Amino acid sequence: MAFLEFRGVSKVYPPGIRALEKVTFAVEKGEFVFLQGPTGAGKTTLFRLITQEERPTEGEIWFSGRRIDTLDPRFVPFLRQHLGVVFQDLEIVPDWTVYEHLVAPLVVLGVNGKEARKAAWNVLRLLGLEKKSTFRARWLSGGEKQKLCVGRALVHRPKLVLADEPTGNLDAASALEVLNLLWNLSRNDCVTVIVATHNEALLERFPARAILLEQGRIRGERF
Amino acid sequence: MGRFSRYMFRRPGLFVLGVLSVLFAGVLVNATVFGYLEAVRLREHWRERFTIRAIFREDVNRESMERIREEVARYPLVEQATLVLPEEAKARFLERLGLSEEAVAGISFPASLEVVPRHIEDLPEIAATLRAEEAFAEVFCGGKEVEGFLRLFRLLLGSLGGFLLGVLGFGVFVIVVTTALAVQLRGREIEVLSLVGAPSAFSLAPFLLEGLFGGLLGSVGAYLLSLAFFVPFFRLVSEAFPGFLWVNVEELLVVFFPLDLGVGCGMGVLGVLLGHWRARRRSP
Repeated sequence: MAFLEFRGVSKVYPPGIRALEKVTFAVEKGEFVFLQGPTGAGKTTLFRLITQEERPTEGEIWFSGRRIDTLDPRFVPFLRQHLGVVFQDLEIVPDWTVYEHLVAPLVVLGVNGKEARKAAWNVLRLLGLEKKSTFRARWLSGGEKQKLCVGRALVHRPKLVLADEPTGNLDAASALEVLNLLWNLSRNDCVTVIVATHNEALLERFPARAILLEQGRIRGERF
Repeated sequence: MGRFSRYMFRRPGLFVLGVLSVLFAGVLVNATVFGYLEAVRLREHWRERFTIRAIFREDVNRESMERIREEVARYPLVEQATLVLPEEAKARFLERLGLSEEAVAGISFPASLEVVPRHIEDLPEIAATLRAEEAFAEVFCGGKEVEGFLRLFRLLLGSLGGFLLGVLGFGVFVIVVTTALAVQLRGREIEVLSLVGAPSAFSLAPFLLEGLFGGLLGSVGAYLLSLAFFVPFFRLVSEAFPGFLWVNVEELLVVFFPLDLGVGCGMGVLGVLLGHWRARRRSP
């Protein structure tokens, strides 16, 4: 069984808007996959189905050998603890500092203070944000916020990273830097990474599989 | 702990509002409890004044009177039942009016049963039970004055109970509102924590601790305020009215401490649970 598998998954939002239609694909462990498609293709909905912010209207979703679309809501937090998500709308708290954002997933996991500090500082250094660790998120630029969101998705070493337009607010050099980070994570640490993007130029630079999504349907795959 | 204190001091206004509502409720609870204890003390004092007198019929013999006295003494509402024989009744009468035996020659003094109730508000019920007993010719229980007093006493206790409930309800309401407000203001934090895998208990924990801490602080404040008021108050009134039956101030303060702690922490935790539930229910 694949590490992540969608089997005929559809999602219809009231009053009948079809966001996804019979989507079927599989992603292996440690694989780096692009989810490519224009705005409104259903990329974010697909991610929201994995994080269980939404439930599919039909079909099955399997993650790490378990069916998650019928998961009891009480167990959803434990599923999310295995995921690292870079949200399209960033989902940051303006009042929290950069450091607090990075430590939050570790605190939730019950990692002790010393290890949490160490892991947070590693990510801060990796993203070049160490001088802004005490800055409140509201004081950061758009690109820095995006980097922070990437860092928060990686800090707890998740099994699966979902990055929804992670380079949307970044300049070309920073975008490449962030994607290189995710690429190396997948290559070196065997972490499964799915990157949703509509930026075709980025796809050319990484020899990864791309799933083409259009109007909620898979139109093909590219290797 | 850092997480909790950080949350608290980011919204200090709401926290202070919660603490003040507990403090205010605590002071009012203490005042109500003082009123209640004072009323109970006066009731105990008056209880002996409110004795039911049941007059035996002339044909009832001594053994039957003893048997009836024992039965009445076993009633759960009765504190004490005393048999007053004709000789004793006569002696009391003479003593009270300062008369000699010759002055009452030829007058018969019937035997009677004096019944002291456990609580004076039970007086009419005991009297009704005694009236149903054939052995008694007549039962006296004080008449209209006693009924009026009992009505007043019931009204006083009922009002105190209602006032106490109102005060507690108001305190919990303030905490519910402040917690719901805090949860909504921190909605983003809770949402983000939930997205990184925090169970709802994780996001509830800081609020609960805050409620408990606020309740504790408010209740200690209420206790100290009561201490500052009641100690000089009792010193003053016991000097001014030494004959009055005042509640013992030391006993009162011993009652207040656990009561304030319980009420404060209970209000804090209950308010937070209701407020959190309300805010989460309203969020999309």
